[in-house]
Amino acid sequence: MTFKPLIDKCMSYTLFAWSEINTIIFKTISFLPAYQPPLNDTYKLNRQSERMMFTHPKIPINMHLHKTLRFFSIVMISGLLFASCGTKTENQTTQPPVKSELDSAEAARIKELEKIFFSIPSPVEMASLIKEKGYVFEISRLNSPENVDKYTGELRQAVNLGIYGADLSYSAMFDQKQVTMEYFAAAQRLAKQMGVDGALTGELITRLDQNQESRDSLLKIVSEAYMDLNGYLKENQRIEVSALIIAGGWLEALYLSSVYAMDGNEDLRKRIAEQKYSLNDLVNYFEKFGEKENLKEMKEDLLALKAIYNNAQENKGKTSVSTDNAGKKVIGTTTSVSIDDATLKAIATKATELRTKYTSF
Amino acid sequence: MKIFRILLPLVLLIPVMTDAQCRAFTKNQCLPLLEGYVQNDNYNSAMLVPGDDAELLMTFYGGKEYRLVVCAHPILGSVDFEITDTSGESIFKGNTASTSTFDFKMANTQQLIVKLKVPDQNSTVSAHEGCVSVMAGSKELN
Repeated sequence: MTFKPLIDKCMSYTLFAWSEINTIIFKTISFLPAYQPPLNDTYKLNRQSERMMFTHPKIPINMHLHKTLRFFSIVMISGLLFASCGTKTENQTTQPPVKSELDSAEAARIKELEKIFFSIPSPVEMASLIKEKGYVFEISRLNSPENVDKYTGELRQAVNLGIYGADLSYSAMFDQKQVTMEYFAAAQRLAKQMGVDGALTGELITRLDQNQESRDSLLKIVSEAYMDLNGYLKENQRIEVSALIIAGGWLEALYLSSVYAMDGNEDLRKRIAEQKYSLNDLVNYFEKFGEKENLKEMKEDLLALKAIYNNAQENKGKTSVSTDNAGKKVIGTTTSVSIDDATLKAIATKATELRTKYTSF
Repeated sequence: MKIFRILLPLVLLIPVMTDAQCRAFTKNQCLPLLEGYVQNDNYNSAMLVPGDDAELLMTFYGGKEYRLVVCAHPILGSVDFEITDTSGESIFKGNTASTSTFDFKMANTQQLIVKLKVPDQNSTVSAHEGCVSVMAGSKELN
């Protein structure tokens, strides 16, 4: 992807905005009292100010305002350039963009938006079902926080940051407050090593510590932290890292639920079957990035899982919408997806294999 | 004069929101609308301009209750949104001026699409971009 069309658009917006502001300044100073400059150095300074402000040379500038106008013109130029041009720079052009370049810039912008607007269910929702079905918390199933310093390279660090996020959700759901704090510290440490600790701040650890008595508060803080982390990454043009973290969290949730589901719980089996939707969404999401080297390995692993999920039976049905006694909409469907024992076992085996691969060092 | 020097540049810079402000806008203005629900940890916020369309495919699990929030900076006007199933059948229509939240229960797991439409603005007015955020929170069905 080339950034030239984006930069051209960036500059055209900046110049357009600047011309609008210049118009406002022009109209503002035209109401100011006339100033008759003496023929001395002060006059020369004022003339310089006039040139900087691009004002009409015949409109006098109030002597008391020239410094102020110069000050905020510098502020505005800096602010506009900083605010409107948030992408890398390559070639800049002073030519007005032609229609084809604007179309190309618009297409690139829409493509970037598609990478931002992406959603799969949070690992919290899977952990919620595990707890609801009466299973007990087993810390041995989680990725030890002591491993945090052993992960190097963007791929392993990002995937494990997602894995720790899922482990955080799991431990918080089971009211394991101390464990939750330990996992949050591990996630924060890993984020710092990756240079993305702008989101997982110390303030969040303080909030976790202060809310140890409330499971819902713990869950909200954990979810908010990871939502903010994803936002931070997207804002700082590290969307691919965000994709790896999301994939890591999803993989860990699938692994944990499939381990529990092997004892025959039908609701867990059904939820695992329904992961077909999220997996399809993840694969499609990774496709949007093209052939990015840092995403290649995870994409291949997701495709391997998808091949197993192709054995799931999906029945397309219809959507129904009704209203309950409290006036709330209830959305239902006859669409369903199911998996047999062999497919469940294959999914559990593959999820374990992939999870082990990424958590090993 | 000092106040003028400080305030005027700030006033002129207000319309120029950055992605950083979009994240802050999402946390400060949109997240509180999910009170009572545990928010999804996905971040679905972006700077959009008048005339923009966006779509978000989401999976909602059966047996849970959800709140969907569509939040937009007032500079964009009232952003329309529609929730449909994957075949395009409309389930709910709203806009950020009146109904920016939609509470619902899921009887079964299903994928739904959230479609956004930022209204076009008068061509004589300078186009401003603004933050638009889609958030979802869940809780167990009682």
